[in-house]
Amino acid sequence: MIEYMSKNTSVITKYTLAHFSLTISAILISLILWIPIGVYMTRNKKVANFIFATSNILYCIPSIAMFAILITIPFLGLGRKSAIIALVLYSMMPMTRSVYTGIKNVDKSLIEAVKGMGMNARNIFWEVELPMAVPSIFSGFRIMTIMITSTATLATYIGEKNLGRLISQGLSRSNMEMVATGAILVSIITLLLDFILSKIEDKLSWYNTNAGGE
Amino acid sequence: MIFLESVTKLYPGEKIPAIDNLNLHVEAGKLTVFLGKSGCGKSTTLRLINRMLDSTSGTITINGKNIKDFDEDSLRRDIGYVIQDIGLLPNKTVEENIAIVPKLKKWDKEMITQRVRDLILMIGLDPDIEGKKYPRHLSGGQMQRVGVARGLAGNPPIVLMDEPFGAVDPIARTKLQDDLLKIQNAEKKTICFVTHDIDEAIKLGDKIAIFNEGKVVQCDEPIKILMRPKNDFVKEFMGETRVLDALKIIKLKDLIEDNHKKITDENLDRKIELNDNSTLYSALANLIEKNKSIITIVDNENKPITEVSFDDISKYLYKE
Repeated sequence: MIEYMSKNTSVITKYTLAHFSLTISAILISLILWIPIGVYMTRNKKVANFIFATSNILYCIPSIAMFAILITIPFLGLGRKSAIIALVLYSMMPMTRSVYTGIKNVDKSLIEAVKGMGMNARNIFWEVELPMAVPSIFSGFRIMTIMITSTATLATYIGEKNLGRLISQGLSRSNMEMVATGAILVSIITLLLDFILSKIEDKLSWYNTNAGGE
Repeated sequence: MIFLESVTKLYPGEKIPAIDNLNLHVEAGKLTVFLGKSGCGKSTTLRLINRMLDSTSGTITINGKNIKDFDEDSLRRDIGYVIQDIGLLPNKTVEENIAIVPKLKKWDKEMITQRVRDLILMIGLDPDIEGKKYPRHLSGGQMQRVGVARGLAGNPPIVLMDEPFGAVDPIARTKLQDDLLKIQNAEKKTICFVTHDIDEAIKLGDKIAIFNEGKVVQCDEPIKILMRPKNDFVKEFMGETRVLDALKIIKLKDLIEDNHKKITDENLDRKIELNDNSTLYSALANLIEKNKSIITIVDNENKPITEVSFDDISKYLYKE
């Protein structure tokens, strides 16, 4: 396997970079889309129920099926657009939910106190609700990142040239070294990301442990 | 200062109003305690004043201006608000928590820093140590102190306090009450203080408003509430030892000024020393302890000043 890796360094690097660029695009779009929607859900119960239902259904669709459905839609077809959309749709559940619960779980007495001090709704959102929701939002972000990184592997079947390709081509060529390289690389990246993100998550949770003397 | 006129608050979906045609005058510069059992409407009344709730009918005016004519947020910025849950923001330090209202009022930076320092010192903490800490590193009593400081930070003429010391242990509580009195002596705010603790009300209140079933039954000085209860409800609520409570708030030196007597007998066995804080309660305790009907009062140099008898005490009580 080491021999395979050293012989194919440039291809492996190219696939890894492609994997990251797909992952990062999907993550960025998800954040821009789902955080504001998650916030809006806390203000409107009907929207919240609709998004919860939709995101749960989407989350239950197997990824291969999701990719397959998307490529049949005109304008999307095979390739990156479909891959990104699929990943963004999967992120809807963990992201909107973590934003929603993060804000909804802010201690009511805090809101009462700052409202009584004359904070308006905007002050309350930026100075209290959002900062207090950061740990929850971040744990949603961690789940999403891990899920996108691993699910992106399957996008190889709709034309993405990423680490998944090592696995799929290795399988069709019965090249076990190639399969192992792809599988191990994806696993290491995912585990490493999870490790780093969980460390950050621990650091973030400190200030949200509720008031109480020591 | 604050007038509530025929104020009624009916919560949606309920038949009995929480506040029922309530009238109350809260005087400027005084600490008025709202005292009553839970569910009598005292907290609701408090929350009507800073418009956390809006009344169903009636008017509330502050300095002659209807509170509905104020902008809600700026009204609240000029009314300090301290609640039992304190509500310190865990993601902000003590300093930052206290600075919230001054920042909302857009004071300049130096003024805020100065005000925050002064307040932290006033509540007996160190601006360079506790000031930089996060609320979770403070004790319950310290957090409550910070809550009070935060309520005063914007220099509001009015401060509303909703059972602010309800959740702390008795020792810390006594200290907090003493500190509040000290602060109030210096700052002379108009304070509305909700509690269900009679001792706390007697200790802190310039005036006590007794609440029952959404109405103010009696609003008077503590001594009058104790000695001249307006009806059976107030009498019962203040308890059968209310006369003893009254003794605790009458200063011995007031009685002496009023009723100076010559020393008839310099028997050193039954004397008590007079200081600024001696009350009729301690005089009575001495009478009982020494099993006499009369005691000699001496100054701090052990020189007899006057005599006080059991009769003097009970007469003075009913004179009020």
